[in-house]
Amino acid sequence: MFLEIKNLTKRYNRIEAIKNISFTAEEKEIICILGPSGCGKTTILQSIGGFIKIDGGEIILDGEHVENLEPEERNIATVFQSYGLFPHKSVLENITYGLKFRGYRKKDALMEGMKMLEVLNLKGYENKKVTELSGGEQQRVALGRALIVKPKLLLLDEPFSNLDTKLRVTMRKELLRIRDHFNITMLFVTHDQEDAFSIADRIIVMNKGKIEQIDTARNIYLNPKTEFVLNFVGSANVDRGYFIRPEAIKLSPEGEEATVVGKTFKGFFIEYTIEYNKNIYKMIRLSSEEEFEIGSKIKIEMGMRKI
Amino acid sequence: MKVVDFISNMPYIVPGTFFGLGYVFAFNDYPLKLTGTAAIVLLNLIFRQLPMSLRTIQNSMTQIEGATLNSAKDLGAHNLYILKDMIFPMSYSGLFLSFTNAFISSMTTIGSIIFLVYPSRKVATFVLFDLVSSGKYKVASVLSCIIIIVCLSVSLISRRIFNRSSKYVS
Repeated sequence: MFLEIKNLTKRYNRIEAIKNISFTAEEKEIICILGPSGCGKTTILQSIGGFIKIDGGEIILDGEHVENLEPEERNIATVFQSYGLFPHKSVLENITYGLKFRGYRKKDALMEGMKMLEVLNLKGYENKKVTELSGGEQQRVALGRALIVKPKLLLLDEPFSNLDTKLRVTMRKELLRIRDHFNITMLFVTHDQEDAFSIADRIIVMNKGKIEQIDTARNIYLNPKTEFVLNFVGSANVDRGYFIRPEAIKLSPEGEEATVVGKTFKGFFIEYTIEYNKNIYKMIRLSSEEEFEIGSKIKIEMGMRKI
Repeated sequence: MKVVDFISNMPYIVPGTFFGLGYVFAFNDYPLKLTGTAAIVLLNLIFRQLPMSLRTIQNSMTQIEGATLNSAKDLGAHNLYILKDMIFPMSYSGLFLSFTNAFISSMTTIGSIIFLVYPSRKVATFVLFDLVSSGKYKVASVLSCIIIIVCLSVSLISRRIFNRSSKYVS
């Protein structure tokens, strides 16, 4: 295993922010920690980065214990949520700062920096102030600054939270391209399910300082292990330990009868509320499909599954 | 901590004349017999300006983001480098402000050092005072011009020095 986290525990004033967190990551894997605010996901990231002292557990990176090392001694780089760029330095100075501590001569460092700018499509920006850049550009500078020191592990804290929807899509692609270019292992934290589903190889769903499930996006969505995962990732109809996703309710001529009691047009899909067996269910149909009026009877097939 | 903070602010709160008198009493005897020296005037001026200057610098330091310092650490900077590459350059504006502020108000102060200055070691403001009260207005206006020019040029020069080293701070 390339990265191994064993029984990580951190307490704040005797309250456990995270408790017995264990997981592993392969080389070049993108792992995403997904969870609501305050579930301890950032605490995990900061413990691995070394910015907070942990109360127990082991962090093994490429066969080496790093839990007792200072952040500057760990071969791990972090991209912070607010980027933490150096406002008094230019783009190039920001990017090459880490090389100063790795025995680079100034000339070589600048050359490396220019190469990095080219990879990040930031050519021509080298002498700009970082405060003049847009959000997406600032993020790329933060990425470049972290990647230039060739870390074994890259940590990203809510990397897309400051970007608008269109830019998010671009940056997700960008991140995948960077992973392939540098062959780097990444661990990132988000509360946005779409971020996690678009780029993560595996997702860790967390709640209240504990891991609920570690799996691929497909399995997390289709085979949730707990009710929390079921409800946090997408929406679901739950009835006595059984569940069905709103889009999984099928129309079928041989099916049972249900009544449409409500509907909302949401763009590419329409959300219906239907009454079936005296219970209320949520059902989703694409807006290009046949539309039902409120009060009409429909035939449905309901394959409820156990959580 | 609050008590310490309050005590350290005393030199600024206490009226200047009393602060000066306090120095006369405190340093009139062994082990620190400073009355009548130039040192006591300097010390008095320094400690009178210190609280305000500290506040200004503290303020510009708290504006540095935690993530910025953490990123520097993350990239391999030890504490000394963080001080030299991050904290100092980013607090230049506060340093500049408190330096010019302290210098100019020391140049024109009278209150706190009125009892500390010896006739043989007068500061410019006292000479100016004497000139005005003895009716030598022409010489007095020349002297006040000189004080103004000194204050202006010091603030301009320090502005240049600090601006050059913090060219990226907006």
